[in-house]
Amino acid sequence: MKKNKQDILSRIGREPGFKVPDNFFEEFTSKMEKELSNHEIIPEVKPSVWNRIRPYIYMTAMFAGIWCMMWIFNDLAGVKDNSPINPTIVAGFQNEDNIHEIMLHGDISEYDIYTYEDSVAADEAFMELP
Amino acid sequence: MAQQDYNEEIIIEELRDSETCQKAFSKVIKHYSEPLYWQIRRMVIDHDNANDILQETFIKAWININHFRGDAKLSTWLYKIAINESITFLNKERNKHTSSIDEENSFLINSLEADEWFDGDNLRLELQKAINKLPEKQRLVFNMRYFDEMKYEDMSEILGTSVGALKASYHHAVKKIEDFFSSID
Repeated sequence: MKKNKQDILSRIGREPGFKVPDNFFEEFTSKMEKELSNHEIIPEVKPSVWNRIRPYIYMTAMFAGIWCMMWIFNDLAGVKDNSPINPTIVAGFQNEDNIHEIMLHGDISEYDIYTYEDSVAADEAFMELP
Repeated sequence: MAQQDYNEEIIIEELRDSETCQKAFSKVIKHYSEPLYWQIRRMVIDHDNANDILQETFIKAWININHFRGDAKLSTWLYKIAINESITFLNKERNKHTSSIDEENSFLINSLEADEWFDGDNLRLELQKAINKLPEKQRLVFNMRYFDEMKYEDMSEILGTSVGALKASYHHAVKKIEDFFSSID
């Protein structure tokens, strides 16, 4: 059985059993030659300079847009963060009675205190000017 | 046409020149009509359909000749067009004739039995039935390899599949055909 299985294709051979009318290929060629004149060749469309560079322009614009957005967001965030003195703290320091309370229990860093002291010293110096 | 009359490099040069283009394309038709016909015929079985698809193949190649850049071989390009045309035809016919996947290719066998241009014996008829039960890609690979004895590298260029995958497809196809014959013994 196994031998039969292996032999089946070699028994059949490589001839599929199809045939064509006599002189089919010769007649086909001459018929096609006549047929070609009824069909126009599609002209090759060469892409314009704009079409060729368009993807690169779009990509550059996209990256420029992203860069601008990042720059604007950074700038907005920077204005908020670079504020030298926390206004809530300054308001608290206006009332001398609250200072110790704020220093003990408030969320105040040493930097805030130095900044405050500097600003007070500057104000006093300004006041002493003749 | 004798093989020595056909020089593909010269033909491609002539195809690029509008004055010699039509003459060169006639040489292409003479050279490739027979191998392309057999490729199409083994796919669609019926002679008249194969004839129509062959004509369509050459017309498509002719009107798009400016899009042939010469990166691939002319034969590869023509085979691709012929196979695409055949697959499009088969898909249309399947939609017309079949209602289930099991009888997907039964119309091909029916057309083979009714085809006056088939003179194979019973064994060849059974082989065609076995081939037509294969999935489309395996059928293509089997036909190209077994009947045309085409190299896997050439098939790879035409079908856009790796050589390894083609060898596996051919192996599976042969096994299914052998199993088909075992089942009818």
